Amino acid sequence: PNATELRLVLIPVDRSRNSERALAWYAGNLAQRRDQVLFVNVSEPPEVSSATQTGLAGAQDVYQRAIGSAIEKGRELAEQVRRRWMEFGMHRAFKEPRFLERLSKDPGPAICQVAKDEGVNLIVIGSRGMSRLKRTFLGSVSEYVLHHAKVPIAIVPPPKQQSLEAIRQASQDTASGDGQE
Amino acid sequence: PQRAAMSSPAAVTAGAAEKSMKVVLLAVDSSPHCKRAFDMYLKQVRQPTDVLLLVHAVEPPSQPVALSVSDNFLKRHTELMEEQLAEAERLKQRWKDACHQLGIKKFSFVNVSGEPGEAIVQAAEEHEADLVVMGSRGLGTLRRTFLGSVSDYVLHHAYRPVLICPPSKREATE
Repeated sequence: PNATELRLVLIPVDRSRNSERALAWYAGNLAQRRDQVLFVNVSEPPEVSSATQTGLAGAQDVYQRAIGSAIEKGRELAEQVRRRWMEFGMHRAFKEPRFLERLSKDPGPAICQVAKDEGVNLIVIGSRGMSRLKRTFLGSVSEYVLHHAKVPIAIVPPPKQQSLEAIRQASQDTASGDGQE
Repeated sequence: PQRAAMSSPAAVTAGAAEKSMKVVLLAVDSSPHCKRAFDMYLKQVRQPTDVLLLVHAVEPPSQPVALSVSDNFLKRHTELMEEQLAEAERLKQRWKDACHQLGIKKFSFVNVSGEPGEAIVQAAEEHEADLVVMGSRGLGTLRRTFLGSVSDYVLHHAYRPVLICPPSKREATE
């Protein structure tokens, strides 16, 4: 095994604590100097509602502004992630990470497409942790990526304490509700 | 080398991953999926400071349901158990040889008994595994789920970072 080849690591990011945790865990446990990290944020494309009064030109204007706003939010997130990267001291010894923005209603397939296009070697994602409903354990996006990725995936859970609290809370919510399970 | 710190900004320092020791648990059985997961781990993830813990869950032998538990049944059960244990020892030797050939010195191999999923999670707890490595279509003879019943269990119960290695293209189409 060639441990000196470039390793392309994909870390999907959003505003959640899960993706922060994935980055922190990667930085502290997995990062190697040969790595090139790729952050990808998938945000929803703005709704195109049919404008009746303003006409086509007006609708286009609204849409442009909505896209602009989505891109701006993406940039803010990239800044946030970059700040975290530097807080971890990663900028001192590791390659400058790249940021990718994608607009898509379906983050799962979008992330997998990026993984394929860029030829990534490894994906790191945060899971939501144990929940009563097993299928929401990973979160639907992580679930999709896990099932479709062609490369190894590191899944980083929340600390056990946090997960157990969440389960307890969820059980209490049910108990105080209709009690059906 | 020090143990790698858990994920909190104050604790993470650049280069920590390369200097600190990680306990990596690789769950194994006799299927080819484990070897594939192992190869992927070696190529994509392994660092020289990793300490490898190979955990093999020895499942209790299953026999067809007997209408009465005769002496024959018990005798057969004992025979099967002995075969299982002998096979477990052979598996252990194969993995040890593989590690030696690859120049991996920091590893240990344990056979654990009981429900494989629970046994692996418990081993991860006891050894404070920093990472659990498994293949999808992996452990467990019941392959109902994408992961294989054991890998699925471990993913949902370990509360530890897990590395899932996908099948090769050929395996995926089976």
